[in-house]
Amino acid sequence: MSFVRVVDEYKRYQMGDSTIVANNGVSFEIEQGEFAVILGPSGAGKSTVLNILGGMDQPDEGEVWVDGKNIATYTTRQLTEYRRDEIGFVFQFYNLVPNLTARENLELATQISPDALDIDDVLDGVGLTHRRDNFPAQLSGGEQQRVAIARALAKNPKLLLCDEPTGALDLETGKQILRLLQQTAHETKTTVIVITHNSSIASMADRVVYIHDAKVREIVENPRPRSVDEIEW
Amino acid sequence: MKKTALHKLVIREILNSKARFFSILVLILLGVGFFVGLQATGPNMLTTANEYFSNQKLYDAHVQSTLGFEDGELELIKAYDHAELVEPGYSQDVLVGESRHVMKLISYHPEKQLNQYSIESGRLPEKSGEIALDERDMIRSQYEIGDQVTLYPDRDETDLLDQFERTEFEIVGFVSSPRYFTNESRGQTQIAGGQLDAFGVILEEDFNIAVYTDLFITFAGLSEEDTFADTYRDLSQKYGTDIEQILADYAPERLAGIVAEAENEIREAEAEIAAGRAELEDTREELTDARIKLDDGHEAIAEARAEIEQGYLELIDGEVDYQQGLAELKLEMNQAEAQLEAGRAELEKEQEQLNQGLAEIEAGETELSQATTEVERQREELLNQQANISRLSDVLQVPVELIPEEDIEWILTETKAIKLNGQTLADLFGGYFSGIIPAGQVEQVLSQISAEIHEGLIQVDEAIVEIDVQRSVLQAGRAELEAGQVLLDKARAELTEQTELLERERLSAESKLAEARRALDQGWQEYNEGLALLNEQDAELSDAEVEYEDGLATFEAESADALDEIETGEAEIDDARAELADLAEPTYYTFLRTDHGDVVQYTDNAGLLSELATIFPAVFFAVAALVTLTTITRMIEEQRGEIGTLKALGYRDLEISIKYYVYALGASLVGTILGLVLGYTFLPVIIFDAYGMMYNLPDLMLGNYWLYTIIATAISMISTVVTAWFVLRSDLRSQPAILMRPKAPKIGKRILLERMSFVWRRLDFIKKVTARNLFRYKQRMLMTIVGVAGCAALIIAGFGIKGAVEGLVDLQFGDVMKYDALVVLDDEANEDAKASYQQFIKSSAGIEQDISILQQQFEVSIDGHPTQSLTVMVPEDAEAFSDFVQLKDRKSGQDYQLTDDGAIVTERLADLFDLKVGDLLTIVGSDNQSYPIKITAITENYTGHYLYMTSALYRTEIDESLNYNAGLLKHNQDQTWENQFSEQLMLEDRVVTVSFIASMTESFRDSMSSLNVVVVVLILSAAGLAFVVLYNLTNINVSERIRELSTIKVLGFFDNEVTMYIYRENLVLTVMGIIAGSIFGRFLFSFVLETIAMDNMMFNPALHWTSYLYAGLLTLLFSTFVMWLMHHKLKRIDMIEALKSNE
Ligand SMILES: Nc1ncnc2c1ncn2[C@@H]1O[C@H](COP(=O)(O)OP(=O)(O)OP(=O)(O)O)[C@@H](O)[C@H]1O
Ligand SMILES: [Mg+2]
Repeated sequence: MSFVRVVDEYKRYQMGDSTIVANNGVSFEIEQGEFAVILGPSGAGKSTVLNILGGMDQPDEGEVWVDGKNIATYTTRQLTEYRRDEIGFVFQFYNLVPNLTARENLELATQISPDALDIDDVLDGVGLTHRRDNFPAQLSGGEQQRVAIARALAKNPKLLLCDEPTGALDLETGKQILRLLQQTAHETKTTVIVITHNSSIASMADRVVYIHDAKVREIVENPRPRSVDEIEW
Repeated sequence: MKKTALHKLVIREILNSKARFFSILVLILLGVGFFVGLQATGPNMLTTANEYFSNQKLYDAHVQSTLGFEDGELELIKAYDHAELVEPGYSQDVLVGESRHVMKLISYHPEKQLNQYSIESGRLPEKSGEIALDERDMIRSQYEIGDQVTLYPDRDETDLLDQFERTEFEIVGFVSSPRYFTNESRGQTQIAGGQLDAFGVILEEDFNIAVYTDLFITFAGLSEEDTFADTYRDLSQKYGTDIEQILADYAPERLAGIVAEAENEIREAEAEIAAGRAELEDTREELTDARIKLDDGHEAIAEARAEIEQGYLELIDGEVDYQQGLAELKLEMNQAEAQLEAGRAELEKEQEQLNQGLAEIEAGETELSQATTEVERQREELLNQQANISRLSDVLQVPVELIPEEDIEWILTETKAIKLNGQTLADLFGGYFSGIIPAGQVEQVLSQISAEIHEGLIQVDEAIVEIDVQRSVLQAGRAELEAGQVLLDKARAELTEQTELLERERLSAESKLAEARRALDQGWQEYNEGLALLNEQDAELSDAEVEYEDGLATFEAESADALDEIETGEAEIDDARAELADLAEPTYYTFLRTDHGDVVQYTDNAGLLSELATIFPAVFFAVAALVTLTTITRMIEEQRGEIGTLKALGYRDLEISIKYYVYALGASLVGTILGLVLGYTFLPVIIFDAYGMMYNLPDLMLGNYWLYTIIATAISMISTVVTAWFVLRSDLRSQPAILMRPKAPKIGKRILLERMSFVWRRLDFIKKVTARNLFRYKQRMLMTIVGVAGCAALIIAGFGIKGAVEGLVDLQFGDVMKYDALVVLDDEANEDAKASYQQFIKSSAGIEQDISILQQQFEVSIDGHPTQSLTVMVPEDAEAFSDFVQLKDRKSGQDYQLTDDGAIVTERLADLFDLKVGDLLTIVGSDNQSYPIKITAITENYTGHYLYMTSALYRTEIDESLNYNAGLLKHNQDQTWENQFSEQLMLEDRVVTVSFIASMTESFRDSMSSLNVVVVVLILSAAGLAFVVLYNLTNINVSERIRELSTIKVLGFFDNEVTMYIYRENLVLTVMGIIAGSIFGRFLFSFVLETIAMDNMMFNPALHWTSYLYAGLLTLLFSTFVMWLMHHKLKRIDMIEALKSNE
């Protein structure tokens, strides 16, 4: 059974009289350790799916299986535990705690994680050992995003979810981030799901899920994903 | 121009931040409400009291005098220009009922207008013997309408009927008086324990006092004035001074009047006594006279008796003489008579002889006559018989047959007497007639008879011769006798003459004797009469003697009494004279309404409230305003982007800012209005209700005060709208681009703590985060600390005051006064009563220890300070005294002992007059004497002023004669025992009253409880404020850091971990606030204590640690509660929403 399996998942938003269907029967599967990419136009419902996968939101209908458990049935507390133990999340706008240094931001995450990784290793891994005692405001956007990824990784999550992690970054930095994510997936057996608008990134992925108009239009498996450096933007 | 979008923005802003909007509203409400409410309470209380006074027509001035009042004073005061009503009355303090409540009985007259009573139940007295009692709880709970109460004198020797017409009264109602509108005290009295328990109202006519004791005055124009305003105070003081002056001027006249009257009375009394004495003397004299008269009488009677005795003797003599005379006369007469008799007898004899002779002669003559007669008759008879015999002899010649029968009969009868030879002639004739005897025989017998008759006739002639011889002899004898008779007659005449002489002599003697007899008889009668009279007089005298004895006995008995009376009278006169000599001019005491203890206390209380009302709400409002200000500032800063956007869109400044103004104005206006309404209405009522227990005033009259309204409104506007304007002003000056660019996230900084790596390293990560965060948001941190500190300070001060007040009770009645009961003793009790009391105390099982003390009131006045009254206590046993009263330095805890070197004074007085050990304290006695006393120590004490000294010191410095007039007792029993003990104790003659510390503690606690209510209101408000402040600041904190919170939520922090993430900071801030507040509260507490300090009361300036504890706990509690609310809010945070966008 796949590590991630979303079955007929619906998410609707009630806006006064009208109902916005953000996810309309979304179904897809992602294997463990895959570097998956969700592609789709703005407003397609990508973030919605990812939030649900990340345990930050719950579907109205459908099943969301992660590591053999249907998190769609989880209580708030179970979801929190799920987030705490199994999920790493990276946002477009980093969302680092401004009052904490890079290292502390990682510490914030590992504090509550049962099998957290060594912070310094992780920081080293993202190449920020020398900036570890800097506050987010003292870091560049890319560095911040790397801290954010490091923070997500430090928890040693089973599932790393990134919502447009490169959206606010320049190309080169973006590449760096993507490389990091791909490495993570391939080297640590962590399943990584990344949302992007950039379809060229799709070639890096083991699997690409195309979402359009709240539905999964296509799932493409890529037996030979390319590395970042091979990609032409 | 339609700006619907903008309007929507305002409404959406309010709806989106309900909590913030309401917290601003509530902050303003609390601040304004608390401010105006507390501010208004004092003035409201004053207004209410003032209205009450004017409705009940409370006097403006109450005058008393050492000598009471007479019409003179009354007229003078009535004549005073500003006097409106002048009403005299009586009052007298007395013990009432079985419980011997000390009551002031006040005269009531339905037509008098001042000091009107409010009837709580029943009615006022309408007729003699009715009484209306104070409606005070302690009285109300003991009596019912219809009960009878008896008045008792304070001292046995006092006669209540000198003061009242009666001593039995029936309760007809319960009333309250504007003169006594506090519930806790009825003022002082001269009698019993010195404290009045209550007042009672009886009709004026039930009083029996010569002069009026009280004078109540209202001044013209003052009824419209506010009692508590300066105008009233100044005017009434001015008028009062005038009255004092008028009366002071009148004093000599009054004294003169009294002296004159008294002297008159004394003179009258003296005259009376003199009269009494004179009367006594008169009576004595009368008695003496009576004695003399009686003695005279006795003498006279004795004399008279002697005289009468004499008379008697004389009479007896007279009698003897008389008898003698009588006897002599008898004798003489008898002799003379005898002689005469003898003569007469001889004469008679001779007469007799003569008569005999004569008789013999006469007899002879008679015999002769008889013999003659006889002889004659015999002759005749013989002749007759011769005739008869001749006839009978003739009859015999006639035949018998021719004799008539009658002749026969006659012959037979005539012849029966003629007898012859044994036979009667009748028998012979019978025989003849019958024929037996022949006529011859009868002729023979008749011839024989005629022979014999012839012989007889010879003899008769012979006798006649013889008789004639004899007659001649007799004739001779007669002649002889007749000569003797002449002689005899002559002798007889002589004798008769002699007898007549004697008879004359006798008559004369007899008449003389009769004369004497008469004289004697008269003498006897006189004697008897005299004797009777004498006896009568004697009897009368005896009666008089008895009467005199009675009179004397009565006199002696009565004169002793009368003398006693006279002596008492004289002593009284001496006393009166001495008194009169001592009599000073009357002193008049004018008490103004504003001097009235209750009014002063009430004013103080209202003042106290106003004091509290200035500082507490100020702090309170400051905190509220500050927090509001922060909130508004934060709100606007949060919306920089929006402002920039609108600005970029071309909205004008005002259009942009209007939203914030509306928002700020809305919150503050609604808050202000609600605050004003609630503040002005509820707070004063709540507080006044608490005071209601202390005062019998009508419901509070609410009022609003423009000044406070304006201040409150201004402050709330400043903290909201003006703040908004200020913040907006700088924002609006900025370029929209700058505004729209997210404000650079605050650069994280290393905090000081991190440099102290030994500490820092020890902190776990979360604590580091907390520490870092705390210092990151300095403004909020400061705001939170200040807010919490403010509230905590208010709470601390509140509890502190509560504690100080309550502590005062515990300290004063627990630690300082270690005794359990104070017994006021009659210092003039006799030895028996004293012994009995001692015996009673010794035998009372519960009593552990007792001590005799002298309690005496003095005054201390030093320029620039109000006069303080001071109680001097002198224990009999100086060493044991510290078992009863704690003598200890409050700060150092050093114990003191009483010594003869000087006295120990209580702390508050020492503070007030800045006394140091070694100073001389001058105390003034009721006799106006000043006594400087050296101070050797200053002891802890909280209520009242005391000066403790040894008896030796007292004797040398104050009064040589020392009479212990109270006792302190310690016992180990409960209230029930106390009640029983008290009942028994009151039976002791020496005991005047007994008061127990336990009940004093209670009543003191009660009286302080109203302050507690204020404090509780304060604490609750402060707590409420603390809550709103914490909520508001936390709210700001959360909304400011929503991203951060969402992030950690996403990271998988559990809800409570998220909450704790924030709460930890809040907790630290709260604790810091509490610490800061504790320091601030300490000052606030001291400051408030200073402002509410009373002259004769010391609040313990030590702030009890529990105040901090309570303040801390309360603040933490609220902080926790706030966090609990936040927790729910945080749980509902939409992390996706928060994290989606860039700021
Ligand atoms: N909280 C929400 N309330 C109402 N509608 C929402 C909400 N979140 C998402 N939507 C709607 O659901 C749809 C899908 O949104 P979603 O954020 O998943 O799109 P997306 O694919 O991530 O777009 P983008 O690439 O722009 O991020 C959108 O039409 C959006 O308007
Ligand atoms: Mg999206």
